[in-house]
This record gives sequence, structure tokens and C-alpha cells, in this order.
Amino acid sequence: MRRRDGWWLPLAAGMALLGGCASMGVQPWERDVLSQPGMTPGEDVVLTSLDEHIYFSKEASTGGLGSGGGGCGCN
Amino acid sequence: MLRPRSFLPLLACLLLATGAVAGEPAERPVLAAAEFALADHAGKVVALDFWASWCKPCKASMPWLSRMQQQYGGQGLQTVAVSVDADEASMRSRLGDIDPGIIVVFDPKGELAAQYKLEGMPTTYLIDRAGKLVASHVGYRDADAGKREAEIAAMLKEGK
Repeated sequence: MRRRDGWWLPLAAGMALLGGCASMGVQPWERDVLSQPGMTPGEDVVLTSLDEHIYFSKEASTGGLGSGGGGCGCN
Repeated sequence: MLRPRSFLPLLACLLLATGAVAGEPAERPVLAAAEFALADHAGKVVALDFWASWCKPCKASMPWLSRMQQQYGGQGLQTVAVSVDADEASMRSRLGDIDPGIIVVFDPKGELAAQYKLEGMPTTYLIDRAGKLVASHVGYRDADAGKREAEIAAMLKEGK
């Protein structure tokens, strides 16, 4: 049986798709804009802050949802 | 009786005179990332601190770093504060919090930060007199300040 040319194309496309998201991480020194309050997801600021307060209290993880000053004392 | 308006020329003269004497405060020198070389501080213990104006724990650590420089600068400590702010104006807005004895470096592209593989903000690296990286501390907590100060004091005693 004759081997078809270009058999590697789907494989290469698959590898490219998998590798495409490999370097999406934001470095600690690149969090300038991301650390602004406006970047916190959620439409209602009050509702979000209440939800976060409940979460922090339950999990003992103040700062765990994006604000600075978590347990490690770092951003 | 003097009318309030008669004070205006006097007030203007006073303001002008004050300006002429005081002038604009001299802008604090800031090194570019490419200008900073650890080798320039050989023989000193270097506390290399990475900070940014948007980082709240960094703000909390500045009084402590300033105190370290004031207290141990004479014994051979050189604190270097590397700002990773993207814009210079934001960085300069915080320079008032930093002791004048601390060398400020501006690293907007994170070149130095990438070189040191920063894991969080702030991070303080302690480098001994021989230029060897001895410790790295991610984050700042008042509770740990005493322990870190003791670490610096011990490093200063070594290799004198």
C-alpha cells in the first residue's frame, strides 16, 4: 500500500496546538495592570467583595483571590 | 489702614524669592538595568530588592529596607532597589519612601528580574562580600524582619 504524503501534517498541527499555550504565564514583574482593582472579574463590586470576604474567612486565605498581601506577604 | 490688595505685590515677591532660593529639587539618580553590575559592589554585602509601585507588600518593605541601609550601610551593606514598574513616573512617585543611600535601578522590561528568575514581588536576594548568592526571600512580613536583619548582620561579620 502506498504511503500518503503529508501524513505528518495533522501530527504537527496537533503539537502546535498543544504547545501554543505553553508560555502564557504572567511573570511576577508583569502584574502591573493585572493587579489593578478593575481587573478583578465580577460586575458588582460590592457583591464580589462580600463573596471574597466569605471565601477568605472560610479558607483562611486572605488575599487568595487576587488582592495583594496574602499569606506569603507577596503579590 | 492697609487694604488686602496692597499685600498682593509683597506676596508675589515673597513667592518668587522662595522659588529662587529653593529651586527645583534635584532629581534622584536612577540607574538603567543595563548600567547595573553586581561586580561594582564587590567586597560589600548586597541586598538586591525587586519592587514596584503597584505592589502593596513592596511598599510595606521599604521602611525596613531603608532602616537596614541606614543602620548597616557603614558596615558594608549596599541595598539596591530594582523597580520593575513599566513607566518611570510611577517608579519616581515612590522614591520618597526609599533611603537616599539605596541605589535605585529602573528595569521596566524585567531584564534583571528574568535573570534572577523572580518568583514573587517583592523578592530580596542577599549576596555576600564574595558575590555569592546566599539567600532569597519572597514577600515581606513584619514578623520575619528580625530574622532577616540577623541574617544580614551575620553576613556583614563574615569575610571582613
